[in-house]
Amino acid sequence: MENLEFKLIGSGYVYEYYLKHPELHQNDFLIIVLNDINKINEALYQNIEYKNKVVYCELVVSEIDKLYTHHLLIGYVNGDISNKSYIIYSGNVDIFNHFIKISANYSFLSNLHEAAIINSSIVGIHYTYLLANIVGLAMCKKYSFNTNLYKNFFNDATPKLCEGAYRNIWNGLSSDQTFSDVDDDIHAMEMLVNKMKNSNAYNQIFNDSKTQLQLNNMLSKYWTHVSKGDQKNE
Amino acid sequence: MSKITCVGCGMMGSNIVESFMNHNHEISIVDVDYTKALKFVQKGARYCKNIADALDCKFIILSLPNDKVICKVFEHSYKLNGKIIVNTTSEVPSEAIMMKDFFEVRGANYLDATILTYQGEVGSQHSCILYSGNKQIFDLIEKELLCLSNPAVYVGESIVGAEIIDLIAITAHFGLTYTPLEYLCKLDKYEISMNDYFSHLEEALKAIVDTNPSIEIFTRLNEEKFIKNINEVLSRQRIDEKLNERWLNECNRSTKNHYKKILKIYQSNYDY
Repeated sequence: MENLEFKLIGSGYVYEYYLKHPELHQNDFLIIVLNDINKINEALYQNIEYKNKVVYCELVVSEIDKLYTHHLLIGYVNGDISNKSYIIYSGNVDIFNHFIKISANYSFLSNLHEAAIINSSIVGIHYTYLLANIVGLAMCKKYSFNTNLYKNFFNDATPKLCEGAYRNIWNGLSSDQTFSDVDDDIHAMEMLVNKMKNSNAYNQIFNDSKTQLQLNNMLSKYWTHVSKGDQKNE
Repeated sequence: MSKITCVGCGMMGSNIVESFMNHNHEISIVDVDYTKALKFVQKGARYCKNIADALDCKFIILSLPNDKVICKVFEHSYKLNGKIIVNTTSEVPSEAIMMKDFFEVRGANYLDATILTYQGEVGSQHSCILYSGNKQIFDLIEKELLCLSNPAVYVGESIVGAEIIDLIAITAHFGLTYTPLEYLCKLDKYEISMNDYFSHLEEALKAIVDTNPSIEIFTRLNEEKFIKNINEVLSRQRIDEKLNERWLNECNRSTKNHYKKILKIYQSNYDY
């Protein structure tokens, strides 16, 4: 019992906290909150019976097939864990119906990989959009440019630019051109990142080095995340 | 019909030249490489190797790689009194200020411009170009600028306005277009329907926006709209039929290189 820290009983379930995992195979359902496939498999390998347990965890798309378990439910939480959080699940529908009692907003997707794909897409869209606007607002502050003007022009210009990108790519497809246009974009993105850095705009709003470091870490994690997914899928 | 000088006849510059010529303006082209101007010369444009030979015009529009090249082109041109310079060269705000000073010292009137359009669409109904600077100067040449984009969007007197919007719109554009593109490749691999993907993505984004009212990022509200736009464009283009092996491989290659390069740049610029 030395590992047992506390026990909660509610809604017909027993919640127990362990520093180690002595007899977890007696449980029906494991929730794993680890973001590394090696750590997850290490935990699962310690008891062969885990292989038959239901596992709920978050992984990048390519890691799902490497997981040492038969009954997998993939889940992603967006927002804080509360009645306002939104959770995307994918996997076996029977397992989902049996174990998951929904109180929050959710989606259930029967294709095992789809939750990971949706989640990564949201991360990509959300953080790029969010961080772009953080930098934009920093620039407005630095150069005393009216933020309402910025907002209006940004909202007007961005859809046009995005739709242009799609037209550009699809036009290239239909006329069987090479993908030099996509490479142009890659080159443009490189230039853009350097220009962002050189503009020093971050410092205008994040003059505290701790916040600056946090932002940089967030950027690094984001690009690492998407880069990791890509490389593993090769 | 106005006399216009276009400096730089590369990927974007040649489209600017073509758009003006389509509206019968009298064009002088300044570029170090005559071959780039040749096809326009054959249609009636004038080629000048030096800017000093092309100053007889209503305004000068620049499409050059960067501010250093601009400075080099104009380093010996001290007689720009009253000339209007429109600079479409991509810059950050600080460089726009520097360019304004550079030309005003030489007596010119400076407008900054950013082109939020792929090069092939300059002058088309999809073209979107923003201008910053003196309103009176903008009004003087607005009629000609409408050849490049209609409307010609005037952002304001602040010389940096167009550049700020440009930088951020481009950044957002990469996230909003390339993220779904990247994952479209994976849909095929894992046998997920594209319609399911967009429908769930839209649903999830909507939920996130709806359930996080405390986050005051106004532009997030557009995410849902973007996904709808993307899905509509894809449907119109019947992209399902075009998701062939070649496209998937190319897109995977491109996105992989894209993210690897960005990661490398970030890692080399910051200590984590």
